[in-house]
Amino acid sequence: MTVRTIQPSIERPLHRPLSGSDVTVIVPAYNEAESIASTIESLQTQTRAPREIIVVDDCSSDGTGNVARALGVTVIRPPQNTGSKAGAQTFALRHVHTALTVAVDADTVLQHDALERLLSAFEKPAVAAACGFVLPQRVKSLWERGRYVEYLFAFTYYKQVQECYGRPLISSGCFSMYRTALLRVHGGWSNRTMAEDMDLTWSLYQGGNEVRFVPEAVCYPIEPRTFKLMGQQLRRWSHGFIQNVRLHWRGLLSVPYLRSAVAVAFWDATIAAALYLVLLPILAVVLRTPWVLLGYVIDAPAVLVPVVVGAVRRRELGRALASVPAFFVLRTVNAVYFLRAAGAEFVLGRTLHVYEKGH
Amino acid sequence: MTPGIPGTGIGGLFYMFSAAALPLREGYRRVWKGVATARWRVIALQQLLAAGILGGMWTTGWLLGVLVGTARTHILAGPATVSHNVWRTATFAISLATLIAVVCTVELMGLWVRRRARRAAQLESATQPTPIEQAPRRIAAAGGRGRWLFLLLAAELFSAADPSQTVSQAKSSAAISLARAESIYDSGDAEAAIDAYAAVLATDPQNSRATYRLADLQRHKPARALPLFRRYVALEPKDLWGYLAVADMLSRLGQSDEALRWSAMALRLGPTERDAVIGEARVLVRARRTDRALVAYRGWLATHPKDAEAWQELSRELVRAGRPGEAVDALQRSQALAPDPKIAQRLAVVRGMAAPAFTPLVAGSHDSDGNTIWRFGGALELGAAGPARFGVEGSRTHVVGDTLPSADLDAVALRGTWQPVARFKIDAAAGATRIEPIETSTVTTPGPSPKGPPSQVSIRRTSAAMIPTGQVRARWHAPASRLGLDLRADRALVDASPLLVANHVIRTQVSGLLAVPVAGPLTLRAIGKVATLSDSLETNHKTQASGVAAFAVAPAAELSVQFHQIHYDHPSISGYFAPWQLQVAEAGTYFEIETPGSVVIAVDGGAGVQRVAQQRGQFGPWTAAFRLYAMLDAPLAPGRNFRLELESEDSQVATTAATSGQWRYGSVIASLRWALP
Repeated sequence: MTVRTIQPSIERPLHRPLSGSDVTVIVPAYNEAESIASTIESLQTQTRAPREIIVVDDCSSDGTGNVARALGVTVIRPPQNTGSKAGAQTFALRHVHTALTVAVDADTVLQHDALERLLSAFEKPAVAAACGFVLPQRVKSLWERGRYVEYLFAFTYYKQVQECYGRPLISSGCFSMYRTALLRVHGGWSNRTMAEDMDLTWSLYQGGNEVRFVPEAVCYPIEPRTFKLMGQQLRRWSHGFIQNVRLHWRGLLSVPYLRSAVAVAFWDATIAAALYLVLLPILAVVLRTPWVLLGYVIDAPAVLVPVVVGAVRRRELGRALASVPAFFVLRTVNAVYFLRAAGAEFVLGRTLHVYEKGH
Repeated sequence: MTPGIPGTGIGGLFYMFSAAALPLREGYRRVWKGVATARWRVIALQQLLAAGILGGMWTTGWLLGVLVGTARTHILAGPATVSHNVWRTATFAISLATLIAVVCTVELMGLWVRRRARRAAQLESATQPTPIEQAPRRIAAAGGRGRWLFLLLAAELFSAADPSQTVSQAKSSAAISLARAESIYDSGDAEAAIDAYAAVLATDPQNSRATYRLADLQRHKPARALPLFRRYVALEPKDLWGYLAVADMLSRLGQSDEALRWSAMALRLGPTERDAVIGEARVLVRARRTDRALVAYRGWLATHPKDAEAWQELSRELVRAGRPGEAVDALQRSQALAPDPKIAQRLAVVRGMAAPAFTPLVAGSHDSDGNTIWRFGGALELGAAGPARFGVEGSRTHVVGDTLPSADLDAVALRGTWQPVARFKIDAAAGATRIEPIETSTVTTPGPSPKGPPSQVSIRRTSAAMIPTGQVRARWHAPASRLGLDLRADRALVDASPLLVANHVIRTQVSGLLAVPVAGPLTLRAIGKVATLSDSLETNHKTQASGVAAFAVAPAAELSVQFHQIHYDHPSISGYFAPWQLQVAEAGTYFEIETPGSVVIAVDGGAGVQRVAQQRGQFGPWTAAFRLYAMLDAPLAPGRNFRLELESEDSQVATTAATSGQWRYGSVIASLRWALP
């Protein structure tokens, strides 16, 4: 007599209580020997520990792979550098055998229950991706402080409202969870734009899927410390946003609320940025007074409201208030980069193709 | 990434309006669509933030006015020609106008794109024209440019995340996927069909057909299927089969009360629908609410007497309720309507249960004090009639021991059982035991302790005697619960040794057992027994108190910890062991196994420690205690069952009466129940 056993597919859609055994974490890493240990340790100590942690050593030259291997995780190495974070993540996707996949940057540390918090979003079958609250790991330099206030503002206010409408603008690339089957349907993370997370999020929306923002799932990436690194990151992000708008605008018109959110963001990133950067200096010259330049910080009362609320909840009010001036500097630089990107992509037709690693 | 200029620009205004509209949107979606998308606490916080930002914007406008006014007055040396309010209003108006322009442009583009897509679809499927969506017409019919723009904005806010507004490409893709899944389903490949329906849901999460199919294919995994069936009910709230499926899954998961609630909802949707009525009956069956299930089946069959399947299910419940006679009738009705070889086989078995039967019995036992008992006898049951059943039993017992040559006794009793409802049963027996004459002598019996002196026992009765015996037992258990009560009273001759028989030691006992489910699988049982042991020499009293904590590890298996305490008023010289106090602590287990061939094996065992205190003395040391009961019941043919029972004890608790302090005992009983034609 023979006994026939059926091995169930472990990637079958999830209709049972979810656990860490349903999760594989992909950590793309290129020369991240300094930070990757903290990232892996934070993953290994999660309240819902993942089934597998796969570090993609994208041909690093600083021993990143050895550090990861020493911590007992799976390390894979493509035959040659994939050229982008998206490429490294997609390379690892073939090694994933669980229903859910998490992408975590190699310089990002997760709060101890972050995976568990994100898992809860996937009890609903329609949810294809979920992301969490992002805050800088280090808040010391001007740029880190600026980013700290920007995140406090955006994740306390903008993203919460987007979540209430069921349309978070982006499932953040530094820490997001996805259904593996849908990732495969979309071919993984595409490198056709510089912002693979935005590309994937908008593609999922157009496929009728849901994306969730779970504010209780907190992650802490390392943000650029210097102007050079910040510039590299902002260049990539600004070009990525413009590229995604060009790529998806027609499809986004069929996605309620998101289409308006993107249109408003696009207006602010281009037309408003131009007015912001050009009008105030012109007025200052025409009116012959530098006091006009106070316009750059004139909305501080409005900005402070969500920042203070977010900081108080985290008991970081002092740090937040001390960092507010840096936000206005970063916002101005941000506007410059977005305006440059719009000009390069739309006016000059110079599309950014090379993924330049910053943070 | 935060595109734009966070804080300033029209983004701030857009999100402020979005937050302000949240309560209206949430209320609309909860009331009209029955879905909740956001938590009220989150919404309230966003409202507060929006209010705070509005204040911030007012401050911004005021600062701007002050700034420009100051510039004109002091820098350009001219008077301020406009008031601060004008600047504030102008700033807000410009921002609002810009926002409205941007949003309306996007909405118009969206309408244009959707209309083009719809036209393309119409051209593609000219034979099946797509119905024209009504929403744009309603908006246009509202009239007036201002209202039109307002409605566009409102539609934008209220339609967000609405599944009905998802892209048409996704819908058509889902339709193709669904057709593919249906094809696989029809081919009978369940595994592949599961994957295919899951793929449909990945593109169209609101597809109710795929949801139901996917759940239905996984009925054997209730934990997986349940959320899908619940989702199906949310999508198709008027389909009673969804409710029935949820009830079915819940009952399989052991959530009986919740399952009954869902089956009641199904019954409200279709009170005359067979699946609703029978579905509820099945949930009741699984919940072990046999009496209510019987009512449900009988109610249905009163108006639908040609439902063969319902007759079969009714017969199964009648057997469970202890009414095999009525079960035979039900199965015969089923066979008459739809002959089935399996049902015929089942009918033969139930007929055997209901028919008059003779059960010959042979038993033997031996204990460590040298007593051996042989018993031969039999029982005759009359045919089952309604809730009652009667019979007669008789036996001859031959007791051999070290102290006396032997003793013989004959017993006969009338027996009756009455089970008016499944949860309540009474057994009663009344009869007599005749003791054969025994020679007079004085004998030496082992003392209560192996190291102690032997006891001298006189036997005074020598003539034959007739002892009346009887027993009444009432059992009740709550439906779908382990709560139960078992009360018993009996009068019997103690026949553990020839000496006890010769002394005519009679035990009259009242006992009770209360079982109370505490939490989850844990049940506490309290047992109390009060007995009088009397003979011509003395009257002694025995009390027993026991506590049992039983943990059900499976429907027919449990582990337990038990504590028993037995007390005798005074020592006995009649031949039974009567310490002042006896304590036993043990761990026990009970389980039943039924094989596919209906062979039943039951084991009840325990092991632990016991200690004894002689009359008015201190407790002795703890010593090992052990007991085991095992039963095997094997059907040889319909109406013929062979039963073998084994019992072994090294403990003073489980037996009626031990004959010494170091008493070990073993017995075997074999019987054959033979239904008469």
